Amino acid sequence: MSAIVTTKNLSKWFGEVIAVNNMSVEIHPGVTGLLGPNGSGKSTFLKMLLGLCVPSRGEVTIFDQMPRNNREVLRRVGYCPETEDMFDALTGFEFIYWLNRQWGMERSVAKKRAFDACERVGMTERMHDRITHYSKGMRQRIKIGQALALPTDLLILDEPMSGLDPNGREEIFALLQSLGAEGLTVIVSSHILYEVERVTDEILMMHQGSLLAHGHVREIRALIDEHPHTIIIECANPRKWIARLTAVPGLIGLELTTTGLTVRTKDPDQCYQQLNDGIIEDGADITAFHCADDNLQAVFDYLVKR
Amino acid sequence: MTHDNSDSIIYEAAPQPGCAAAFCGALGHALVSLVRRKRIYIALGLTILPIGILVVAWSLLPSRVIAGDRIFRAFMDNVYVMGLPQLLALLLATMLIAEHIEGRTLSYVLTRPMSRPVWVWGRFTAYAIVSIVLLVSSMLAFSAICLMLPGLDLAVGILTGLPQYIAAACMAVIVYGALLVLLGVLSRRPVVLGVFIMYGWETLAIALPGAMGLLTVTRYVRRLTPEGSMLQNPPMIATRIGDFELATVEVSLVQALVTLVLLSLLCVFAAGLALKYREFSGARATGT
Repeated sequence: MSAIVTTKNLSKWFGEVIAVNNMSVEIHPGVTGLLGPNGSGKSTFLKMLLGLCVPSRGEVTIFDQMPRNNREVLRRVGYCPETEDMFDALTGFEFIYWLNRQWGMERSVAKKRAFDACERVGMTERMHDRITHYSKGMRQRIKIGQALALPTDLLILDEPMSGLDPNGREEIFALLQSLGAEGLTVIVSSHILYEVERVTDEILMMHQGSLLAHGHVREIRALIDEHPHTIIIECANPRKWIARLTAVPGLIGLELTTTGLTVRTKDPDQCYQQLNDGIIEDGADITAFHCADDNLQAVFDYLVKR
Repeated sequence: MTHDNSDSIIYEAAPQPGCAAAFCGALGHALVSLVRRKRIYIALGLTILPIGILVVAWSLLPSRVIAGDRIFRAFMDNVYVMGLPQLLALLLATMLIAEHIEGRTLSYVLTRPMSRPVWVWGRFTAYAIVSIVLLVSSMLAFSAICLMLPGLDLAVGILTGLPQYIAAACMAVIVYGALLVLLGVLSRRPVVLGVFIMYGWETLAIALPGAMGLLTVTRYVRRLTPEGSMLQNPPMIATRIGDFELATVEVSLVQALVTLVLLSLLCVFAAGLALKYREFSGARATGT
């Protein structure tokens, strides 16, 4: 199957800052997650795909054509930007309606598509309220709605889950999965692995403007599992837990702190199991425990330092 | 979207958007936005202000006998043609495109298959409609009140010049608006630049002898007013060593009109092209 998006040695720099560095990728139909910490160049990469940015070097093609100022390409692309800013003087429905009208739709078609888009993102009830009265999540839904208002073949969503409540996220996850199942090409950027995992198995991983990994989510997960985890345990009697945890396979280090204990392990599941067993057997003197670096930034740091 | 037997995808493209519909869309959206913004109240206040000043001044003067013709001409020339259009342009035209750049909403426009110049023309037309409606309404109301106020010694014949004043004011709104729309696309400080050009450069250049005045909009707009022909007489400068004639280059009514129309078209066209080819990625426009 031919690639919908192709980039070759794509680079972009602003003065001395390299935003995107030598990205060569092919994106095929289905949902692709663009993953990377804040400032990794995801948005700049997406803007080059849309023709908003001119590449400093390399090239990008969508549907085998250059996207910049190319109406043939742009009329097949829907985009939900990262920015929270919208036309605040309007209602959610009007926002989509006027964008449709500005794109050249006739009045009745623009109205129908705006209504359908609002319905699709679950905003029918509040669509006639002013955007200024919307929560961040509602704005996000309307932004996604406007991207879906045209019959697009490629949908680019920059941090679409940002600001959504858990229910909203679930709805958008389901929506994205259904769009992918329809055969649409969807690119979803996020800095949260969990969000991307929920909608796709295909991941592009970026760090400091470069492509770090491209492939199936299992491969990325494997990299993460190799990464030593830091677990912070808050408890009244840390010495008791030291004795228990030293037996855990994959343990790298233990450190006493003022509130309890810090554990570094390559096998966090075993560690959590020991903690569970200990609580059941000896009573719960643990007030809290959490993983300090179970986030992408930590994984990226680990991968880059390797 | 459909699939054929070879597992490749055949895309059914969205229908080609119509230019006329896109223009109407941009015009309609800009009209709705302009009318709903708070600044429209300021613009409305500015256009009502001359009428208020006239009524207050008339009610405060004890004799209530004023040279109406002089007042009418002074207001029309200095306020309605050379004052309000600039202020309305600063207030409404400067941010017409710039607000999308500053407000980071330009990406919604630039990532869609619409003609950028058509979008600019649509928005500019909306600005022109709103400004002209405000300005002309105020001019008509001002003239009617001038006629109605007892004691305001206004010759009815003076009103024959009103259409020319209205035309000059409309032209001023259009040309200053076009200039500021262009500045709004090219500059991050369009208001500052606009104030500098309209109240700095224009004032200076018009006072200088020779052809410098030709590089101002004021020179051409003034020529459109009934008083414009009087400017053809070279002004004199009185000095200790004698009176000197301030040499100026004359502009005919047609030349002035053609220059202003061409300048307006050029500015809006350039704004459309700049929007099409300028990269807004480094700016706040696309949320960078």
